[in-house]
Amino acid sequence: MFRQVASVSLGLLFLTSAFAQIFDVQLRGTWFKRADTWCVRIDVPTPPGAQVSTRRMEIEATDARTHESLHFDVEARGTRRRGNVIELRFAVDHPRHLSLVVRGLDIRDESGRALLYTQMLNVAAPPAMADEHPHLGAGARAGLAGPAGGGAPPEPPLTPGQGAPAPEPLNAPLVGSQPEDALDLPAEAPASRKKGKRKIDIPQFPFPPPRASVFQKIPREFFVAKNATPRLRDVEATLTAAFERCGYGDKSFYAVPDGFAMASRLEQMNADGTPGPERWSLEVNPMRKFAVRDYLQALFHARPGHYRVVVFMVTNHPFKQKDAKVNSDEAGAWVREGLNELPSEIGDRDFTDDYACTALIYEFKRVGNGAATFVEPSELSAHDHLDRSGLLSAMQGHGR
Amino acid sequence: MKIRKRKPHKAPNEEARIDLDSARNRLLVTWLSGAFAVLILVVIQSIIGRFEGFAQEFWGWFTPTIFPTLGLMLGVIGSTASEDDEGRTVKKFFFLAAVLLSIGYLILLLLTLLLEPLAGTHDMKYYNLANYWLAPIQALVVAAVGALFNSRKKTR
Repeated sequence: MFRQVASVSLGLLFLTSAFAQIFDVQLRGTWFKRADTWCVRIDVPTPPGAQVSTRRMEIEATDARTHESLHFDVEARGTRRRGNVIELRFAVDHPRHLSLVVRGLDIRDESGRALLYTQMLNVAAPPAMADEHPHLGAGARAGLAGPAGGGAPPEPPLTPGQGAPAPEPLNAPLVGSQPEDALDLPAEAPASRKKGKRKIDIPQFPFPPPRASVFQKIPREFFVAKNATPRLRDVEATLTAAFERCGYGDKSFYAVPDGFAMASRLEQMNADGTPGPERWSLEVNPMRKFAVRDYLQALFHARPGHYRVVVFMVTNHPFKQKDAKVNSDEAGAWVREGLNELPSEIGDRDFTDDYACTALIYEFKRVGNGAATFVEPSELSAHDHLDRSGLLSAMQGHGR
Repeated sequence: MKIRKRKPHKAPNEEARIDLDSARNRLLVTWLSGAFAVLILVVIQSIIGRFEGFAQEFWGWFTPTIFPTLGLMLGVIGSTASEDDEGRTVKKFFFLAAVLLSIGYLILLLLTLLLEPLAGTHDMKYYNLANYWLAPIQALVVAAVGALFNSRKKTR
């Protein structure tokens, strides 16, 4: 038994040290009190000359013991001599053991190389809660060290792309006891303040996306005409309004790196791209009105069913489509498996100049009883698809 | 005193019978005509591409609708071509019933093909559905034609 415990402990120690080697920057967090308000300062120790951008930063905070989501305001972001600091103001009466997830930090060294950082970190409460002064002892060190005698707070679960929890070395230097003295903290625009939100498991859209029949970048003007500094939720509003105007009832949202994807329902269309009379049916359209020409056409020629799924992908990551074909069942399931609305943690991001909205059209054709097959490339251009479905004019109309 | 005229003697049901050989030939002509019309339509549809993607399934459905019956008729006529069928007759009513059933079946088959564009379901789903009305009538037709063509009994 003792050997097993020792082996596990050694393994954990090894993993911890391995993680410590992987990340270039290890975030550290500490509690301190300012004007009767408990705050957490996150230190981003960076090498000299490194640049830190917090524009797309998002932070989640949970009580490490109860897993309760905690609300906070981003009090300040600024620079110090030894790196950047971010201060969070919590509405709590006493410090708690915190699990923080910090996403969206862009840290680059002098040469412009992006540095990896630990997205998850634990912040231990000071050992003596009554001690309201931020003179933190060894037990207040952040990370895996944990409070003296209190044991380490439980690790938050790892999720893909989030990296590993911060492996704080035991002899890590503590941040200053009077942070406000040393800080140069130009408060950012109030709009950039973020509230702690309940964590939602956002389904991920395949990224890079599977190969589309055709695709087109949507002009940025459609989204910025009304609002000079739009957010992703404004883009989503434009797309949703266009969907509604064009009769697309169902849609669903997925997360993509630093953005979102919005998928439509599988719809049947005519060969020219206009919506078919039996738009939401997977059966081939019957003859609604008898005409000799139409009858003869139907008698002697195959009547394939044309179907499509439109996916709008909004991200600031340029992508090359994956060399993988999607079938009609998979594409049809996109509308069922995503979220019904865009989570605010994505919607609150700024739709900056480096963002682009790309329409991916997945077209399928079914002849006879067989399954619908992926059409590549489509006989229509992406512009034709968007124009004849009405989406293009709807987006233009909403943008004006 | 009344003298009753005697009716001339006739063989029983003489006027209600038809020569078997003639009946078979007429029935074969009926079937060949109908089958040819249906076959021409289906061949043209196939060549143009109506059955694109399910041609094999379609022909798998279509072939049993006419060819087994035609094969039976041609086989019997061929095998009895050298025989003397003198004196073999069949009841006219049964012959008419067989002809009417055959014509009805062939018209139904043709209509089934011609009305497909107007139907609510399409392609093989539709043709498989058509089996519900074609199969029972085909069974009756095959029974009638089979009886007619397998009859070898002389009536005189």
